[in-house]
Order: sequence, then structure tokens, then C-alpha cells
Amino acid sequence: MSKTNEPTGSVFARWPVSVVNTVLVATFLGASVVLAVLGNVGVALVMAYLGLAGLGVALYARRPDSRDITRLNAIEYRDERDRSLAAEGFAAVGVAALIIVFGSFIAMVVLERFDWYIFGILMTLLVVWGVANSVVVRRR
Amino acid sequence: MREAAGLSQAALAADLGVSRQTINAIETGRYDPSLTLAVRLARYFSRSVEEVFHVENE
Repeated sequence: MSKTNEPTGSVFARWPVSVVNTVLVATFLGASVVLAVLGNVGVALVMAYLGLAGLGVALYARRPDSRDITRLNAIEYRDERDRSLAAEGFAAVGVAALIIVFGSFIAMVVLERFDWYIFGILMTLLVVWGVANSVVVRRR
Repeated sequence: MREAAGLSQAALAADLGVSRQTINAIETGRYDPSLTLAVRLARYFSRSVEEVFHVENE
């Protein structure tokens, strides 16, 4: 059976933001510190701002009376419906990415301008799609 | 059933650990809950799943 709530025994059940947002905020703030140490203070401030803004958005979405669309956009899922809606949203993103990259690949072939970058993205997306399909059919 | 129990959507959602929008979506037929949540809802009102959810034969 699927779980409705985050596991209550987990540290992350009491964590103020989701695991994804924790990683994102930590990455931005970590990059900010590294850039500051390297002397690139301007970009360091931008990274720190992005990290703190992301944290603010996540905390805002975590409020008890937040809207579902706010939680989805902030990657702060509260229950099974949020996760189901998010899966549909990300699936749409995946389809769009495949269509766009496949279109770019066709244009590349027609125009005879081979680009390893586009070819690599297309192959990566196809592999990810195949792996994702094999994972989901094993789960259910 | 919820209104008969004197519960708001927010109160029921808080008791079940889901969002108010999820309770609203279930009540308006826009979302079919998982079996886990359906059973939890039924147990909350001390009813069977069949008493809480009505599935029409196709």
C-alpha cells in the first residue's frame, strides 16, 4: 500500500523543508561559499540570494494552509495527491523534453549540422525513459 | 458524513495528515484516493470502505 504521509520515524518528517529543497538550498549556499573564497563575490551573492529565496519559497509552501499549486511549484508535497499531481507534471515535462530534443535532432539531420550535444541529450533522455519504464513496471 | 460529524475539511485533513484540497477533491469526485487513504477514511468514521465510497458498475 502507498503511504499517505512522510514516515514519522524519519528525521525528514520533522525537517522544515523537503529533501529535494534541502539539497538545492545546500548546493546554492555551498557554491556561494566556494565562490566567495575564490574571490568571485558578485556571483557568490547571487548564489546565496537564490539559495535563501528558494528556502523562503519552500517554507512558504510548507504552511498548513498553503495552496496545492504552491506546494507543487515549491516541491513541497504534503500527501499522496500532491505526489500524484507532481508525477503527472513531471511526466509532461519529460514528454516536452523528448519532443523538443527529437525535433532538434531532426532539424540537425536535415540541415546536416551534426551536434554531439543534441545527440547526447537525445540518447540520455531515451536511456532515462527506458530505465524509468523498467523501474515502474517492477514496482507495480 | 464529514458534515454530519461536525468537521470542517481542514479539520478532517489535519486528522488524516493530508491537505484540505485532497479532502475537497475526494468529496467532489476529482480524486480517487489510494486504498490506504480510503481505508483510513473509512476507519476514521467507523464505517466500511463500501459505505464511504460508492463505485458504480461499469
